[in-house]
Amino acid sequence: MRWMVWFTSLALASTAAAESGSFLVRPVAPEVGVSTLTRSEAERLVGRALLDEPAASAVHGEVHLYDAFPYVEGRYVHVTSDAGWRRLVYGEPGEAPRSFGQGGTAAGEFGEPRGLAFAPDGRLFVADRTLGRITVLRSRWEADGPRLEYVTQIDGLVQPMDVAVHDGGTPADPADDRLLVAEAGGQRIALFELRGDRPARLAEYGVRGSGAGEFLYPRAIAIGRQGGVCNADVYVGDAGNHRIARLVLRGNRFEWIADASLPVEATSIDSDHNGNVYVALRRGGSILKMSPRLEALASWDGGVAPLASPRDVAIPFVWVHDHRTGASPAWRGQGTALVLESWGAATGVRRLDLGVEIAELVRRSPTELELVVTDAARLTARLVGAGGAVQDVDLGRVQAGRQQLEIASLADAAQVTLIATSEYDASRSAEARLEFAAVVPADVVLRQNVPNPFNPATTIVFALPEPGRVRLEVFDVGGRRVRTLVDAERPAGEHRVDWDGRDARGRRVSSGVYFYKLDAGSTARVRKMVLAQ
Amino acid sequence: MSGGIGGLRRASCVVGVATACAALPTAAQSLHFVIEPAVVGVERLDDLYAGGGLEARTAARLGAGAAIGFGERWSLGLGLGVAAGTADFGLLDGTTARLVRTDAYAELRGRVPGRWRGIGMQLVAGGGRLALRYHPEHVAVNVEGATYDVDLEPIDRWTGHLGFEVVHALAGGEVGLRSTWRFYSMEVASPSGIDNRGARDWITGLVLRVALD
Repeated sequence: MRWMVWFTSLALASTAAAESGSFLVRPVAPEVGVSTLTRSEAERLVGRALLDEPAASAVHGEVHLYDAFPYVEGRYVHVTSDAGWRRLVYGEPGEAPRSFGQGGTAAGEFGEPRGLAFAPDGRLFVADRTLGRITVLRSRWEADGPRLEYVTQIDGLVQPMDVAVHDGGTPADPADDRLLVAEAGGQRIALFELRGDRPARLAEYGVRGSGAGEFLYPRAIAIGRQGGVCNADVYVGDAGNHRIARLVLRGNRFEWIADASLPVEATSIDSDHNGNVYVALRRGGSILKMSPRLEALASWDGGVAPLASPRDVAIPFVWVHDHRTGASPAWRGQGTALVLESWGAATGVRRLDLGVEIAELVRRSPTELELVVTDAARLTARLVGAGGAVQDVDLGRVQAGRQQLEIASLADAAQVTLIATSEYDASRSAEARLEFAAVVPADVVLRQNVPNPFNPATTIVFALPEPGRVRLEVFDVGGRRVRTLVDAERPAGEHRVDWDGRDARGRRVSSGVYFYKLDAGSTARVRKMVLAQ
Repeated sequence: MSGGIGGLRRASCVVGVATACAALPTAAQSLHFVIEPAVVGVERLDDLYAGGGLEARTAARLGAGAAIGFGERWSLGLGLGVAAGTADFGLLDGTTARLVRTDAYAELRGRVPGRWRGIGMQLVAGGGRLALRYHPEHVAVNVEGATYDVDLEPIDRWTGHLGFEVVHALAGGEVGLRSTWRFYSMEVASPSGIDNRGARDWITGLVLRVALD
C-alpha cells in the first residue's frame, strides 16, 4: 500500500511543472519587486545579512474589513527561526524585519531554534533543539508593526524539532488549546495542555522503532484540519523511517491510523484550510501535497528554478474581522504556502498559491470516470454528444483525492470536459480544467482516412471498445505489406495515426490504391485509400 | 492632530481669500492671463495611507492650470492635478485596486519682492477639493473558504494648501519649481474604531507658465 501511494505521487510529480494548477508561483513581495527572497536580495533590501541558517517559518495574520478608509487591511507577522545565529527574524511582509533573541540559555535566548507554530491567539511556540525546551512568545501589534515578547518556556524535552498547536476545535477559545511537540531525540511526540501560565504535560506517544506506534527521529508534526479548524488528525514526519504517520488524537490518547512511505525524510509538514497536508522533502528537492488520508495529490520541484533543499513549508492562517457587520471573527487558512529553501545567493523563500487541478483522468467504463482532484472542488462534466449537443452535469462537491464518478449520460457522449472549480476561490477554477476526448464505441471502428485521395500524408482514425493489442498495417493492391503503422497495446477510445506515404524503409511509395487493415483482438477491419502523386 | 490640520486647512483658505480681496481693487487696472499647460511632479502621501497597503506612497503627478494676474505682485491660480498608485491592502491573496487621487484647487500667489539673477520667489495659499477613487470600486477578498465583498467607496475632502515657488522668467512666460503641503482630514478605520485624522501630503514639481497677450 505504501509503495502504491508513493508510485502515484511519482507519477504526479513527473507531470508537475512550474505552472502546475496545484502550485501557482507568486512573487514573495511584489510591492518591492521580489520574486524569491534570496540571501543577496535580502541584503539588498535591508542592507545587511538577514539570516544565516533559516530552519522554519510561521505566519499569523489578521484581515480587517471596514466601512471607511482603508476598507481592507491585512496584517501579517512572518517569523523565521535562524538556527545559525540563534534568533528569530520577524516582521510584516515587505517591511523592515526585526529580530528576537540571541544565543544563550537565559529566558528568551536560544540554543538552536527550529520548528515554529502560532496559536490562533497569537502565541508563538519555538522548538529549541539543543536547549531541549519550547519558548513561548506572544505577538502583538503596535503602530509601527508587530512585536514579539517573551511569555514562558517549557523545559525537559529531548531534542524538540517541531511544534504544532491544536486549537481544540475552537480557535477563538485559547483555554482548550494544546501543544504537540516532535521530540526527535526522544523518539516520541509529547502533548501539553496550554491552559494557564504554565503548560502541563498530558501525554506522550511513541517508542524507538519502525512499526506502528514507533518512530526514528520524528522531526516534523502538524495537525489536521477541516474548514480551518483542527480535527483529530495528527501527522508526524518520521524521518528515520522515511514515512509520514497519520495518528488520531482522542482525548489525551494517540492512535496510529496509517502511514505513507516517502522517498526521503520529511523535514516539515503543514496543513491547509481543507486539511490537505504539505510535506517539505529537503533531500528530495520538492514539496509534496497529500490528501488528509495521505494520498499523494501533487508535487512541486520548483520547475525551471529547481528547489534547493526545501526545509520548511508554512501555510498562513488569519483572523478575518468584518467590522462592517460586527460578526465574530473567522479563523481561516490562506490559500498560500511559503516555502523555505536553502538560504543562498539565488534561493531562499518562495511563495506559492494553492490551487486545484485534475490528474490521471481515465474512463473506467462507458459510464464511469476516475480522476485525482488535488483540492476540494465543485466538479462539472460538460458532455458533448456526437451531434454536437452540449450537456452540463453538476457532479457536486468532491474532496481532494482519487474519485470515481458515475455519469449515466457519459455513455452517449463523444467528448467530456471536466471542470473543477475551487470551492474556496472561484478565481482559481480556470486553472483547474482538463479536457479529454472519450469516444468509446460499442465495437471496433476503423474510419475512412482523411484526406483521401492524399498526398503526401494522411490520417487514419480507429476506435476501440476496450483496451487491447492492435495492429494497423498498410498493403498494396498486390497484398504486399508496405508498412506497419501500429503494433502495440492501446487503451479504449479513439486513436489517430498519421501515414507519411513511405514504406518501412522510408522510401516514398508510388501513387495508387492501398488498403489499411486494423486487427484488434478477434476483429479485423479493412478500408481502401488512394495516394495521388 | 485633526484640529491642527483642520486649522491649517482653514487658515490657508482664509489667507488666500482675504489677500485676494485686499489685492483686487488696487491691481484690477493691470489684469493679465497665464495658462499652465503642464505641472509635472510627484506627491508624497501622508503616513495614514500606509494602512491602505499602497505599494508606494510617492507617485508621479500631472496637472494643468491657469491664472489671472493682478499687477506684478498678485495672481489668482486655478489648477487640477492627478496622481495614482496601486494598493494591495497588505493582503497576501493578490487583491489590488488602483487609488486615483484628483484634486482641483484655487490659490492666491504673492510675489516676494526682488529677484536674483532672474530668479524670484512667490508664496501660495489656497484651498480645493480632493477626490479619492478606487478602480475597481469593489473588490472580492478571498480568504480560503470565504469571499468577502468590499465596496471601496469614493472619498471627497475639502483641502487647504500652503507652499512656495521658485520661478525663473522665460520668453513669453516662466518656469517654476513648486512645493506645497496639502492639509485635510479623513476618517480612518482601525481595529479600535474610526478616527478623524489629519493628513498632510507633500506635492512638488515643475510648472510651466505661458502668458497670454
